[in-house]
Amino acid sequence: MRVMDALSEVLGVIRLTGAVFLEMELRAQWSYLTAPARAIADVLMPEAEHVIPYHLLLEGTCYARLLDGEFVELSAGDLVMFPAGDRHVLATASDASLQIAPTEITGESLSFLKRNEIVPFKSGDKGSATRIACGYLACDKHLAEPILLSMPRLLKLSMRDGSTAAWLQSSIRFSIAQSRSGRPGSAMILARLSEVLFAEAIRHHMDTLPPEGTGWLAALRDRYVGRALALIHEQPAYPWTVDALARKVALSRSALGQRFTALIGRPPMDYLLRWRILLAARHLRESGAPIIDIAAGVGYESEAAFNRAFKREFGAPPAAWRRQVAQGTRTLIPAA
Amino acid sequence: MDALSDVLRVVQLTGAVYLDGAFSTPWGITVPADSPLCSAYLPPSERVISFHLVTEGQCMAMLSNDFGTALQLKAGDVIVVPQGESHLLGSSTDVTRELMAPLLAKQMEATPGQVMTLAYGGGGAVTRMICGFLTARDIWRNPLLSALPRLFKVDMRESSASWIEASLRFATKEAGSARAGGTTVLAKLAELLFVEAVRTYVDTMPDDRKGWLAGLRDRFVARALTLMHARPAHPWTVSELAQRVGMSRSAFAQRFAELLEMPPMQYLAQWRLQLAAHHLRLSDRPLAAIAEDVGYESEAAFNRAFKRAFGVPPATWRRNAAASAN
Repeated sequence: MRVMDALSEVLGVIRLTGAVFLEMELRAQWSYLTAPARAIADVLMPEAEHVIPYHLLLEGTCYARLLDGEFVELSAGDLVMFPAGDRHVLATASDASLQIAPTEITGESLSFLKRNEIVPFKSGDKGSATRIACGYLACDKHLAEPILLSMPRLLKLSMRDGSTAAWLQSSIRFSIAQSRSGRPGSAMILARLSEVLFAEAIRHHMDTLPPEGTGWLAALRDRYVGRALALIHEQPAYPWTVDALARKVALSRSALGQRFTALIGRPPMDYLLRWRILLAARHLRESGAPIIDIAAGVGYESEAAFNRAFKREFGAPPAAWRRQVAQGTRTLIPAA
Repeated sequence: MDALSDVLRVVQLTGAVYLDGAFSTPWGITVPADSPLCSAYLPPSERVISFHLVTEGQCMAMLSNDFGTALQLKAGDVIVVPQGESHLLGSSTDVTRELMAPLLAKQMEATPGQVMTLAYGGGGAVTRMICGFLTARDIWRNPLLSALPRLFKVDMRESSASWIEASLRFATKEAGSARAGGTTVLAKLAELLFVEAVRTYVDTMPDDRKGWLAGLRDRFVARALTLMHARPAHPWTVSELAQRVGMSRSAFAQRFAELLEMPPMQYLAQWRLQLAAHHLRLSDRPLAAIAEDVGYESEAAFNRAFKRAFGVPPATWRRNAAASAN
């Protein structure tokens, strides 16, 4: 049996892939309303279910905000990430009197982007330069739900401090320069670095959560619930009971149940069942395996019980759901 | 995308670090092929790659029972065994060898899946090593995996990306503190280490070397590889490739065949089938669409070519791949 931390387990199944796709050098007054994440994905990675844009400030300063939010200031070495894939504004100035109306970047104007390549973009010739590396992370949408639902819509972190962040920042800068000079393997190096960047952003966010915080990431910090989550995610098909989990984490059954529910918002068995159904949905969609095998693969002994549980989460029985997804008449994402 | 990145994408490397070890002279360790250690860290795959990064001191490495492969390693060197064959690490070639896994059995049971520590040896000069695995999808004649030597070393401190070595050292230490997500960071660093080791190996290969890696280094052939990998479905001809890389048709064809030991069109045909297998495994797109994606005009022609290469038609292959994944 492999034992990892729950965060690594989830990061391992969501098929995280990243890339840096744009290196901007902007001078003078500028303001952009970025293209929808979906439109970026359509050009760079049409198969992606969910796309998380990020920007790493290489040089200079700028401001970023959500459409309904306040500006945050970014300086060289800062990273800003949009876990829910929100459109956002990047601008030279935050002061209302200095602001210019943002230029809206539409899906149609993205055709200059190239898959797996960093495209340079320059604008303006006066004033000091702001250089920004723009990247994205693509992942499975529903399996990433524990992480995505517990991240803010805009996450800013400084990559100047902390040893992991610091080497990560310098290696991304370095790899962008190498990519420019055409060294083989650069796209792969930047993809892996983007993925480490995502893990680091999550870790950083966890460290800044208040001690009384709740949600999946806060739960990872709890030694009992964090351990229970690791067990569930390592072996989702194991016939877990609250008793068995409680014994493994050395807490009483009722204390674990209470603690888990307080942090995660649902009881342990509920959480496990939903995770199993999400895993099963991926198998249903991607393999031609018989439903009974998929049910067994995620820990259901009877197909009937699996069918009922699946229907409860997805609103349709697995066979019908599989057919509808294949025909494109049903979206993938079940309600949380 | 450059050809190396594209090939690495398709092999879907997954890495893991399992040991932060301190060995004292005299010592000798055998890491056998099909090590049970790897299956404790990574899901099964077609190919297991072993690697060891020396962080302090020095040692010797060789393939088991092949003294001709013996290499001397110093701090900063990484040694890669691309086919995961049984190999020996030790203070010299004439030491008594212990198997790696039994030395770690107790820890494996106590803290499975985590980075283990080991102090082993006769008490003399100390060598420290970080040991790991990578698994890869090696479907059929993967250009990179079949081009690498059975055992090679790269000096990571001299490499232009010495940060990888430093980061891996740091992240391995950090793994002991069980920070959330630590396994993921280590996995990615192991993958980065492998990519960088390959890049540096290519840079430092002897000039007369042949094969796919030598092709990456030749500016004409590399450009042709990039073109084919960027648009595998394009109806490439030798003439068009030659023109795009700025050579005459015959000079290009000769140079390509000399370095890669096959003509450009044969290389393209093989790569298209590898790519098709990759899509068959990862997507549920219909066969006809996949055939078209990789440049076949008819599904029948695709089926024939696929069967010739893989021994079974694509539909059967896909079913088998899905069954073995579950």
